[in-house]
Amino acid sequence: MSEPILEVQNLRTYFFTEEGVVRAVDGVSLDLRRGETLGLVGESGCGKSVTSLSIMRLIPDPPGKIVGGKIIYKGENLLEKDEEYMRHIRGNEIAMIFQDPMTSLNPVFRVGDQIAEAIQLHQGVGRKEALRRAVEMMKLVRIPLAEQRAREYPHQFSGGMRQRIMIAMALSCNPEILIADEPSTALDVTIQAQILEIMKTLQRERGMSILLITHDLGVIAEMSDRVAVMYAGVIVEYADVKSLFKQPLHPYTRGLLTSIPSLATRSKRLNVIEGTVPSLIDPPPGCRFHPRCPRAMPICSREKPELKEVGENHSVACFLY
Amino acid sequence: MYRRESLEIRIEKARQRRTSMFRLTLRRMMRNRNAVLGLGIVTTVSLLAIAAPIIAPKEDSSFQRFRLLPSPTQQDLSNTQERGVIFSLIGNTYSYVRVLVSGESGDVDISKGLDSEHLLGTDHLGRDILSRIVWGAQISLLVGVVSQAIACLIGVPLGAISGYYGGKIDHLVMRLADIMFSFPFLLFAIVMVAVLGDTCVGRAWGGLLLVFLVLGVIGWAPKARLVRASVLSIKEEEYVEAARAMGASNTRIIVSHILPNCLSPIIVHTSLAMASAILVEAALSFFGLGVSPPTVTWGSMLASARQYMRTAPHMFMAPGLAITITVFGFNLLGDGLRDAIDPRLKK
Repeated sequence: MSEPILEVQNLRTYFFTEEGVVRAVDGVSLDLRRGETLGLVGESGCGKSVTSLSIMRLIPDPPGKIVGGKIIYKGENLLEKDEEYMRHIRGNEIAMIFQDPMTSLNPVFRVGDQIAEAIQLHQGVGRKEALRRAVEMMKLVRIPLAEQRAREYPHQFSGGMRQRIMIAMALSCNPEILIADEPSTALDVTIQAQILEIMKTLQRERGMSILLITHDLGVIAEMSDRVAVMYAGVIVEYADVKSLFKQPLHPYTRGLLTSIPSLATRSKRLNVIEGTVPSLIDPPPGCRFHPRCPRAMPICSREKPELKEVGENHSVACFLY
Repeated sequence: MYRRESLEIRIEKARQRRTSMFRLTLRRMMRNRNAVLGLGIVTTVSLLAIAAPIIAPKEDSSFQRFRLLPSPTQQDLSNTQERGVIFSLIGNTYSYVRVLVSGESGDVDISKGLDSEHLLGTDHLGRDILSRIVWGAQISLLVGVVSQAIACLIGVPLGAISGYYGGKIDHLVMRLADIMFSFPFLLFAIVMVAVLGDTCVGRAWGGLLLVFLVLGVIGWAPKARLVRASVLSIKEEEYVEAARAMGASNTRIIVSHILPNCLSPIIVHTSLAMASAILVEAALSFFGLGVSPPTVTWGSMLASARQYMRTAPHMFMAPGLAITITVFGFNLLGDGLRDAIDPRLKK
């Protein structure tokens, strides 16, 4: 395995609201290696998106604030850099695609112009050249009749096509890292497969790293090399994709995997994880999962489990191991 | 073979689908009878104003044509002096008052009704009313357009900054706007024009510059509020975040991503506000403030027609109707634009 291109160390992002401090991300550590795909899974509201926005330094401040940790990209701590530097990083070095392709494109601009704007912003080329490259990018993400469609507006595109545009825009400046925040969630399954396929192909061609954020374990199994499972602002299990699916260790991960409906073991009821996601303003003491955990022990409510290595490329934060 | 055909069909479909926002809006507006009427009125008035030198051959804008006039009657003179006093109290209308008091301009009605030579008749000095209406259209439209341009120039950036950055700047700008809102529009305009009328700005372009500035400066506040409100909602849109994730700067996000999206309320408001700017200008001229003679305005035509209301009603009918129709047209246009740009507003 190659060296990490992005390291997140003990990241803590809090939101200071009137009801109290929301500890959306509370001590997350990740590393993303060159050319690999790291999956970040978890329920809604567990801090996946906040983690990705923190990496881009796009947390709205106020109320949000990154209160601790390091984000090391190519040896530089991004949290110490000024806005000017971050603008150069965003789009150019680390690009991002968002969940909802229906709202991530500006409705008043032609899509070609929107892609071209990103290119102009970072590559210092003229308008004409940028437009030419935009059309090229659209061909790359397999949009038919790219020259024509570049002159159309977002409302004339379907969801899948718009997500392709978003990918074209994100990749137009040849970024090292692509952060994909639920890139296929808003699309139906066949389109989803197409989009993931395009991302995979382009990753192979360009050797970029992908941080894939999703709640869909199927997508993770399909795309990722390694997986981090997040629960209530912390990472509970961190493993390569094969060992995670073969041998999930953390009770939460097990719960996630068994709650997927499967044809092979057709039971009357789906498995559910009892209870709901805890409030991040006042998280349970000790292990944050213990109120819902089927195998909770007395120690779980007293002490916070650390992420520890239990096998090759497999760490888990649980007192069972 | 089948593939080829389907490709061609798709190209054709793509071509047909390529309708811009502008064309879509226009098409919707054309279906609205009132909007078409409004657009027609505004277009006609605009064309008249532009073509004034061609189609108003009877007079020019700085009309000073004297005719042999009968000497003023006692009644008229006393009228004049009375008015002179009132106007000096208000302040800055020396030139106007002088014309009236000097008496050579007569203040005696030699106006004629409608005939073939003068389609709308002549006024008390024998001037062709139609020509003066056409010249007056120029001033009215200029006031509407320029004052609204100034209002946009001040209000839009202030509103955008206020909405986008929030915090202290937002507070400051919005409290300033609140102060503007607490003055009655017309009264504020009268006071400003009266106070500033004698400065060099006040005399520039026969008082026209001052009217532009005053109406523009008063008009920024509603625009700033409007823009701020739209910016507040648009800045939460995902495409704004996407632009930020692309590395766009704040200025770039405001100018090229947010402002184009709040264009439609600005357009609608501007067309409605033009109507009220025209009205206020007419009121100012009627009071003898603002644009000074010999520049023709509809308001001053009304003012001079006032004393001949009984004997020569055509003198006030023409400018009065001109003002009414133009303002009506702008209002219809504004309403129509609003419906066309945002069809959801209609039931």
